[in-house]
Amino acid sequence: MKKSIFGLIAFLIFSTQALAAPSIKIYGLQQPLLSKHL
Amino acid sequence: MTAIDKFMKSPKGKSYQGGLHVNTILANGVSPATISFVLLMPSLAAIAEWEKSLVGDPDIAAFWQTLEENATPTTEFMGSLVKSWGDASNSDRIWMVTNLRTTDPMAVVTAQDKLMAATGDKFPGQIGLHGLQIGTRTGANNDYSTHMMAVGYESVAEMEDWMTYMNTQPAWAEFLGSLRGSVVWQGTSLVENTLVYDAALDLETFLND
Repeated sequence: MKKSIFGLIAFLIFSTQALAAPSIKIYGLQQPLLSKHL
Repeated sequence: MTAIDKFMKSPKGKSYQGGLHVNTILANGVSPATISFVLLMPSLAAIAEWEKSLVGDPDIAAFWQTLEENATPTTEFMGSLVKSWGDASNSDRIWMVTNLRTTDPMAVVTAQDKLMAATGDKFPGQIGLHGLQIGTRTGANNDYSTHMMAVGYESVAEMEDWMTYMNTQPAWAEFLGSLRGSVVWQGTSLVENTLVYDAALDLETFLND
């Protein structure tokens, strides 16, 4: 019984840590075409 | 580009703990965007914390001002990596970015696994499937994206050769056919990393850690 509780706690800790995935934020912007490559 | 470089060399810019890609958009259909900034961080919470820390900061204020004078914001998306395929490489600077709406994300993962099993030994690039949880509206017919697939190559020539090869492969047709009922493809953009700031977090670490 004790073993399974510890197992559950270990699983919860591991799964909580694994929840955060590498993340991105993308900002799209419009520049006047002539300055696109400046 | 000068303004972003100035910001990244400022005290606030130096404190940034993520990766930053400044992209030139080579083609993107009907979207008016011509450039994009991509923040890469360990979690959505880290992005939110970073943005919170910018409030009232003079370095970012100077950057925003230059940006406001020279560009118009078009879109903001936030998302998290679901799975990556291929060899994560910091050398990839050309990206085919496809937005999609799916009712079955795991079907997309399974189909991509299968496609890689059939063609992956020759695939020169890398693929990242990101779930777009936030800012999902695309602006096209009131549609929205659930995911984004970013495929990276070292050059446009490498991409071109691979796409020519893929179009001859039955596995590509099987991939597209298997997702016909669960995916709406929303168009593909071609973008190039013009500037990459990855001293704090490079792409290979972002994908592998």
